[in-house]
Amino acid sequence: MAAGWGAAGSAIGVGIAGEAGAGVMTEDPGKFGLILPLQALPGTQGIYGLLVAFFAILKVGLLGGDPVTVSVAQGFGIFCACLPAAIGEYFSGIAQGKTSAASIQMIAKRPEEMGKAIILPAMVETYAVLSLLMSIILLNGIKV
Amino acid sequence: MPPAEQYGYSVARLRAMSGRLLEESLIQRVLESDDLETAVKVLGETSYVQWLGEQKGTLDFDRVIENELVHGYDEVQKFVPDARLVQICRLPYDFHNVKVLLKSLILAKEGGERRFDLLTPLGNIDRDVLITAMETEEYRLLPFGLHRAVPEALALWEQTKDALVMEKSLDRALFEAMGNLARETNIEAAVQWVRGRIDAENIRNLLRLKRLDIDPSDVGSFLHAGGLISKEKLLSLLPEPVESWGRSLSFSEVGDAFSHVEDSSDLSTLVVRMERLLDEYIFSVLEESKFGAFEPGYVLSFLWKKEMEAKNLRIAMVSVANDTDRSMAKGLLRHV
Repeated sequence: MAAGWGAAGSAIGVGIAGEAGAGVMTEDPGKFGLILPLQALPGTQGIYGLLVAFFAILKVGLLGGDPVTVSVAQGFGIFCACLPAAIGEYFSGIAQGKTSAASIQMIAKRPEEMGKAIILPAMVETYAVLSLLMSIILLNGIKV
Repeated sequence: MPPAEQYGYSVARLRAMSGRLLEESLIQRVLESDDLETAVKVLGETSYVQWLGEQKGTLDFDRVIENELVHGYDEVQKFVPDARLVQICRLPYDFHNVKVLLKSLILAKEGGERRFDLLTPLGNIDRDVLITAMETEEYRLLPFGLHRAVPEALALWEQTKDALVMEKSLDRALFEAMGNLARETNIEAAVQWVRGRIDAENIRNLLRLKRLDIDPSDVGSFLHAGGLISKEKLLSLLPEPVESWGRSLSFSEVGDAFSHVEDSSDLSTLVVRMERLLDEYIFSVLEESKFGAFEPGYVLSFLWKKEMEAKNLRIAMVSVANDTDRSMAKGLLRHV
């Protein structure tokens, strides 16, 4: 769940930012260096989702080769713990993609404002990190 | 991709392209040139340089301006998700070409000369296609409602022998076609923009007719339906002094254009001044599209800026060519 929705959010976000980046680079290929970090920003949600998925897998021992039998209640608990990451990463990925696209358009006209352009989509990252933290805290709280 | 994000690429590319638009300072430099050669040299520093080679003498600057505008339209038409946005902007040129050809046909019947040189390449319909359709009277395949508008205009000419009646009918067909295209796009900004253009045209006509002191009962036929301001409201302005039009139109943004009018005793000067203010009003209709990253209206906004750039450049070049009062020309420049 967390890995899938996180990756989906990132894919859409990076795609939106990439479209804007391609538009600017058609006219000014020299801006590639400025556009790349802005396009990559929404990619972090996929990584956070993957991180939560690893925590969940570790919890049930799937990675160590010694799977733990979990009850329905524990399984439901793990599922619910992954939800903040799944929902948060998906929506923040898309939102960050849109903000990155707007920032890319900003540097198309004002490349000297790159610092400010990167801060705006980075603000969205806060909520992706909060979702990640909440999922990790909840997963840690589940006794298996 | 949801429709709202379809324009991400286009808007980003247009924002990058807007860096190529001429800055006001450059237009000022053209305007302050001592002669046309110096003005053309200034143009050589811009994207217009690619068309300077096609110029037949320095007086042929209009070809340079026209080529750049055609290039701009063609380029944008290639990558916007809905080409109808560009077609709306080019439509007035199609109708201009139709008017030229109809008048040429009429003149030719009376032994006059055909003026194909007055045709512009800025329209959607290829000039040769249009000439063939008009010469062979094969209007059936003409797009944008021209298949109906042209025979109607010709029938009116046959009945009245009045070119103005014919032009009025074509103008009505033009705004109908622009409105239909805008509605087909399902883009609210496009619909509002066309309505804004109709307002501007109506007010322009109203001022000209007031200057000519035309019988108020005839004025209605010069106004077009479909604007943001109703025809009835506009007609009710006619007996009022122009100074008070701003107050009467304060419910609309066009009212702001009149806020600068303090003296309407010289209507000829006022009409020229209002031309500029109304062009700026048309741009202001798209104000909300200015900052959106995915706004389809930005396409129209960019194209209107390009149109205004061409208009400003033409004003500056004509002023230099005729060595007229530069401060007067400066007052005519559009600020969009």
